[in-house]
Amino acid sequence: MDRIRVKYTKGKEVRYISHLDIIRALERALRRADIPFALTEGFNPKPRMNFSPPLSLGYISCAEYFDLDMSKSITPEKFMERMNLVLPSGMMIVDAVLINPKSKSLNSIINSAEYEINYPFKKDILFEIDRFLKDEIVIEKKTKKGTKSIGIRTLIYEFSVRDDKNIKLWLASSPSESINPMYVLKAYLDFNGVEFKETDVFITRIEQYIDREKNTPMLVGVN
Amino acid sequence: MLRDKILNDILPRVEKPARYIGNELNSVHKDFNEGMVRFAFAFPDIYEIGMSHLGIKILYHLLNEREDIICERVFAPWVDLEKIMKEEGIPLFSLESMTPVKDFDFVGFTLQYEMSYTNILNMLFLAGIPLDAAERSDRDPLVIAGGPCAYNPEPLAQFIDFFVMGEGEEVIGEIVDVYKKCKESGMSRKEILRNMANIEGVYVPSLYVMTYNEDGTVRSVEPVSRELPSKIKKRVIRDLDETYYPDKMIVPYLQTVHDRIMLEIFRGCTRGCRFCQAGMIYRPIRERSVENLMELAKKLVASTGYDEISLVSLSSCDYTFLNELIESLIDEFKEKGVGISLPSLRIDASYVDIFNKIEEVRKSGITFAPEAGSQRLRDVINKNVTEDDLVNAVSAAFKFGWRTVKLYFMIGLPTETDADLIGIAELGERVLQEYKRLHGNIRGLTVTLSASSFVPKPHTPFQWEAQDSMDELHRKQSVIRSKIKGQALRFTYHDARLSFLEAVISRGDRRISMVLKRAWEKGCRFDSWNEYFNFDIWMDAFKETGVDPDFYAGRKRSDDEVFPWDHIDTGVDKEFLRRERDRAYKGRTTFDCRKFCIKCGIEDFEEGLKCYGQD
Repeated sequence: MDRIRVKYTKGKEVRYISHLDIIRALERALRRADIPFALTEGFNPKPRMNFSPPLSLGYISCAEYFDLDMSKSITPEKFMERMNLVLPSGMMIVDAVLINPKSKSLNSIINSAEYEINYPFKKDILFEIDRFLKDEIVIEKKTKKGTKSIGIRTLIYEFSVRDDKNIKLWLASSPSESINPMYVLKAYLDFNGVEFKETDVFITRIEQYIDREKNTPMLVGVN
Repeated sequence: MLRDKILNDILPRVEKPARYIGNELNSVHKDFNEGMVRFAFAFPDIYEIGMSHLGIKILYHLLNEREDIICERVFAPWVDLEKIMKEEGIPLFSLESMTPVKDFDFVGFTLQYEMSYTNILNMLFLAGIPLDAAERSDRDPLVIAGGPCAYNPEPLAQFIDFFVMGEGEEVIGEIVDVYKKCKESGMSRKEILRNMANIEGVYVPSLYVMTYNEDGTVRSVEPVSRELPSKIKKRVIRDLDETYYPDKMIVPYLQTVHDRIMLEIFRGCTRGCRFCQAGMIYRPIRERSVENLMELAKKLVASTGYDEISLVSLSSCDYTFLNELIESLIDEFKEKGVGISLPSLRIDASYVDIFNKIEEVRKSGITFAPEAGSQRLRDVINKNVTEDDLVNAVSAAFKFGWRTVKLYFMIGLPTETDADLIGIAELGERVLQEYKRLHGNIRGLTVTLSASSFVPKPHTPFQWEAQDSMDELHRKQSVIRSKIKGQALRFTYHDARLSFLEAVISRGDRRISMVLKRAWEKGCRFDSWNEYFNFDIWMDAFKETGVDPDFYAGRKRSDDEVFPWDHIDTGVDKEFLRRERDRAYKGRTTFDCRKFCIKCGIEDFEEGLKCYGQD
């Protein structure tokens, strides 16, 4: 049986749609597109899919992934064509490949992600990056039992300035180690003594990687 | 621009922003051009509930089929967004274009339950539209309302410009046509309303005067002019197969209450349960053909991608061609993983068989509604099922593997005694025994007995009845509770205070408008939401407006009393209702009218309208 790996985008129109709701929207799109997908066993059969790590509500993304098992063969080109005719506005399939049906899950192979952060920075603070990254960075993370202090310096692989409104972050994103870009931005503004305003930030996930060479899950023969 | 502000500044701050973005699949987005009529379809509750409503799905797409109409949706904003809107002066907006609702030509509310009425006032307020119809200017939208609760329009008469009685598919287009003509000739709001009143099915309360007797009952409801009809006849569709039904439906991102394809298989109900308003007001029964339903089902699956089709109606097991329909649907959709569901199940073992076929592995639970605990009382309410029917039905369910059974009852029914209440617990016990007989024990079994409180409704044989007092309802709840033993049997019941308010409002007259407004002013809204329901405020509102709620809920009406809804003609004669009430007192049942015509009046309602079996 075939397994297909699909790369899709989540645009502005669907930025407030949660991960679970996006999954449901994709399942319905598969049915509208008449894709011959395989069903899960059990009480409530669903298309057999697995997804890359969820994106936070409000973010947009150029690179989300899912794997799907097929019940009949279909070429990746045909798959993309049929899906893109029926997907809701704001979602688009940008790439698809057939992969080994025994491949490991996306969650277990993806270990980092790159983000672009749009925020009305005050110009001068963008010269403080090196100082910010020099020492351990400790943030307070809310947990069920209260707050916990954690060091996040090693989770930041790259922190660069694109222009005075946009920075780029390359961050750890694996089941064992991950950090939300919002926390990094908050810590950075904190470091500079600037107040953080949540409604001013606009975050885009640019890509997700499987290694430090910036190979993506679409790399041929990855499994 | 309002749209940018909402999307970028407001929505990141609220819970479930997907409630408000309005660009779901199959939603309709049109540019406004001069001469187009803008219609805001308003549901007075949150998105997840409103989007589960079939009427909105039909009328939204029907209106948008027309090039000269833009129909957009609006729901009650949840309290978090409401707070921001009030603080920052954001007006109530439509989902599709995020246009202020005040800028629409029509705001149409659907009235599904009385406890949503304060939400209507709240939405009008947030929209910046004067609450009182009399205070609106030519620049304000026409605020209209329809749906089952509109069959007694008077409690909302102060706030609604006009009501639409009955089924909307035909009349809604006529309303827009008349409006366009009036606008072209530059008519004032008053003149427009006068013209609307000539459309059959339209009721303009400001053109009717309600007078009262000294004892507080209604003396009369009279039109202000002789040219106006003294009775407003409901609108009714003759042939469902010839009537518009959408072949696409909006697919919400959020999970809604009924998140599936709703395939309406018929309208009306022939069972004649005497407490049931829907069974009276939606007459006569009209079925869709299997061919039509199959075609709609295929189109709807292709356009939505839903994995479930629900066969909806008031009593889906009564559909003449149910077996044939279900088999065809299974044949067509099984491989695609699309399931079929029946929202209500008749108490009959043979239907459990069908239910088992369509549910296959999803044995989540099975629900029956015996409504009353004794045969005597079931005869009084004309629920034509016996205890053996029920035992056979649950027995079939147990054999198929169900272990969760829910039984719905009503308490406070006319002529009810404690013996009837104890009968509810005993029926639960019999169901347990049946399981034990089949399986040797009751391990894993849950039988839930759920009791709602009877609310006498307008246009039913029980419209003359008094509702039990809240104290009495509480006593009756504890009578049942005291008889429930063991772990497998559970007893749940509704909040009697809500049933009391429903009884007051549903049979209210124009004085109830004052109470609604006062309750809203004092902070009531989302009354059907536990966490926001505040009974004490309601009682204060009654006190402050000098309206006695018991006059409406707890008073038995005399035979010749004029009701606030008597000028609304559902096609079912008051005389028939009285006859049925008398039969109820004698414990005499009435046939399902599929067997033969029981002369309820609907058979002569309108030329060309056919009842079941009529040629």
